[in-house]
Parts: sequence; structure tokens; C-alpha cells
Amino acid sequence: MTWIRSRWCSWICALLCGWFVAHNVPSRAFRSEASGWQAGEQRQVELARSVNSQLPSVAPDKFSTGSALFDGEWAFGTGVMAAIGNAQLALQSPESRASCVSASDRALAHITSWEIRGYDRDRWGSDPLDAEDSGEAHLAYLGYLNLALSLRYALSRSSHDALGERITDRLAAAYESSPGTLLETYPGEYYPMDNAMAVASIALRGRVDRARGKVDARSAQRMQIGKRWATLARARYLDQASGLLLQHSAPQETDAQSTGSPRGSGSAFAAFALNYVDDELFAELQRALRAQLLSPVLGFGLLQEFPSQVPRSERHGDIDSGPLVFGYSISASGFMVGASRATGDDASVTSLMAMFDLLGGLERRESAGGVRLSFVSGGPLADAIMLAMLTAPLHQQIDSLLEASAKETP
Amino acid sequence: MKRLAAWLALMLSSFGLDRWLASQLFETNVVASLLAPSAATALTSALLALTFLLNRLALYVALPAGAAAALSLAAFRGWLKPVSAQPEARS
Repeated sequence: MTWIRSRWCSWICALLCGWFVAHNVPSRAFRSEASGWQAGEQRQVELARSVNSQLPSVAPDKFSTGSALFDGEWAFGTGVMAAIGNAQLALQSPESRASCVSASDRALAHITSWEIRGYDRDRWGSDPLDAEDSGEAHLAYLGYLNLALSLRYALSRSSHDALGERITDRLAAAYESSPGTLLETYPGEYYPMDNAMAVASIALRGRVDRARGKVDARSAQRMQIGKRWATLARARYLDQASGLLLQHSAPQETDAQSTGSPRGSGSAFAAFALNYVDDELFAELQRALRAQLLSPVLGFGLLQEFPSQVPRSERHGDIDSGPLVFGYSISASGFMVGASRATGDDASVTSLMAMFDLLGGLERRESAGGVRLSFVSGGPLADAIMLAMLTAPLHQQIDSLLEASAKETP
Repeated sequence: MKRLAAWLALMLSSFGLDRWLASQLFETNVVASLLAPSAATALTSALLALTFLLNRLALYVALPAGAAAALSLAAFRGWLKPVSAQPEARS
């Protein structure tokens, strides 16, 4: 037994102790803290205060990505996620409904401004809110804006209803006449993820009308567009090996599967939107994300951007995924919070939020309007995205939430 | 005792740095400044953000693990000393 007295044996035991502590103690402590995100809506309300206080100062010139297009997208993304997050919070939290509705209205006014929609106008050469339908899809702007408008429509009547109706009609007509069921994000660019947002906005408006007892051909057609898109997307734009959504693809007019890379960020973001559309595709995507990409590090939840089948030489980060560190994507991990919350996967939400509390640097500050929470290393865009993801309603409860909201709508 | 004091000092200074950086970064748009046209702004932002992230990893993961390893190493050595001293005591 002399080996047990040896110096190297002491070192091995000490390293094992260190590894055990690193693997268990920090993640347990942060998971315990992160479970607070699922105990009521108090934290979400505090995060919303921070998002809403920062939003008025968000403009394209406040970002410096090196690309005017991305600066504009980030400014719009901050506002649209704020509008979506506030609306989802209002839908689920009766106590903060009034303040969240008015915050959602302010965010919608912000993102429909001439300046904020400039990035899309510059790319298309025409304004996305032109009254005349030019046949251009403008999905980078209209798909996301309309999801925010449909969620606002679910809360009560407002001055934004007419715009939401017009965009919904326009997008619905475009999908009806699109054999490939993919509309353009920008000229010549097709992203299934952006299309998922657009069809979710159409289907949700149909569901809101149904919840209000307005069962007519138009609301049925809107819900049908969502179901049809989900069916065709499963055949054409879902990678059969991984079950994940392709990040970009040319429109396929037959059920032949498109080629392209399946990605975590696009799949998780699409799953968040499809929560409002289709039971099967939404659940399939969440299962695939969990099985293929969720790969915790030291007990902290993190998502890989690419499934293992994609060759390493082809795994590059971009503006959607953010910088990849050892293949892990912060964007995919953030969007996964929304998809997991919607399926009721509490364990994944907790482990992912433990990671965001650690690396995002969740901070609490007292202010005149009440306590504010912010992820200090992410800025207003990260706060707004996390608000939208952390307020994603449970899939099975959407109809009952819409019905409850309809009863309060004059 | 000296080592314990060193670990404590390390953790306290890391905690202090974490609080200071968090207060500097709260509700600022540090991500947006990383690619700012001004090299000085971009560099400052990158340094702030990177220091914040690395310090949090050190404070909440590496330092507790390192402290546990150091404590267990000290405990093992303390336990081995009397064991190796026993034969001498018998003679």
C-alpha cells in the first residue's frame, strides 16, 4: 500500500476533488438561482422594466457591427423582441397586463418608425409598409413585425389592428400563391426560420379570431396556411438525419428535400414561433434540438450550432449564431430557452438559464419604477431576446390564454 | 493559513472586480461597441467584456474548484505525514 502514500496519488485525489467541485457546485448553485425564472412572472416583469427603459435609445446608429444592414436588423430586433415579450407577458400575467400592453404599444410605435425600418427599405429599394402591395415579401421586416402585431391583437383592440390586418392579408395571399411555400427575406434570399415567423403571425391572428367567436372562412384559411406550411416544411426544409431546420434554402416546389445546413439558431428560433402554429413540427424541432445539440458543460446548458453530421470544416459562425466557441452558440442557446419553455421542459430551461445567469451577468438594480434586471454582457438586444424567450407561453395553454384574453377584450 | 489567506484574497478581489465591472456594464450596449469604428472604443469594450466573462468563470467555477483541490491536497498531505512518521516512532 505504499502507492497510497506517494506524492502523485495526493495530486490525483486533489485534482479529482477539484473536478468534482467544478462539475457540481457552481452549476447547482446557479441552477437553484435560475429556477426563479419559472416561479411566477416576477423576474420577467423586472427584465421587462430594463428592456422598456433602454428601448427609446435603441437606433441603428447605436450599433457598430460594421454592416449598416446588421446595425438596422439589431435595432429592429431589439424593438420587435421587446414588443413580443411584453405582449406575451401581458397574456400570461393579469397583474402586469396594463403596463405590458402599453409597453408593447410603445415598442410597436418604435419599430414601425421610418428610421427603424430603413434597413429593409435599403435592401429592397422600397418601403415595407407601402400601402400598395408590390408583391415583394419583405420578410426580414414584415414576418417579425406581424408576429408582434398578432400578439398585440390577442390582447385587445388597438390602433395597430389595421396595419396587422393589412400585413396578414398580404402575407397570406403571398403564401397562397407560392408553390415553394417560402417567401423572400431579402431579394433572392430564402430563410425557413423567417418564414416560420411569418406563418406564425398569420395563424395566430386566425386563432385570436376563433377565440373571439369569429369563426369565418378567413380565420380558418389563416390557420390552414400555418398547418400547410408546417406539413410542407417538414418534407422539404427539415434535415431528415438530424430533424433540424435548414438555415437557408431555395424554394422547393416538390417534396424533394432541399440541400443546406441544419442549424441550431434557426431551428430553435423557428420552434419558438411554431409554438403558435403546429403541434407536431414544433415538438419535433424541440426534441431534435435537445437530442442533437443540447450539450451541457460542467452542468450549464449550452447548445451546439451544428449537429455532428456537419463536417467541422463547414461549421462557421455568422450573424445568426454569433461567434462559436468550441461549436457552442449563444444565440441558439438563447432561442432554445423559448422552445423549451413552450414545451414545459423545465430542466432544460433551468440549465440554460443557469448558463445565462453566469455568462450573461444577470444584475439587479433598484430604480424609481421598481427593480430592474439586465444581462449586463449582452446589451439591450440580449435583454429583449431573453424577455421574448422567457415569456413564451406553454404550448397547451395558448388557446385558453387567447380565450381568457378575448373575454377581457371589449 | 497563508495559503488559505491567499485563496480568500484572490476570491475577494475577483468578487470586487466582478461587482465593479457589472456596475460599469449595467444597461450599456457593450456588444454593440465591440466593432465600433473607433479602435480605442472597440478595444476598451472588448477588454471590458472579456475581462468580465473570464473573471466570472474564474470567480464562480475555477476558484472554487482550485480551492477544493488545494484544500484536499493539504488534507492528504496532513494525513500522510503521521502515516510516514510511524515507522520512525517504532524504532
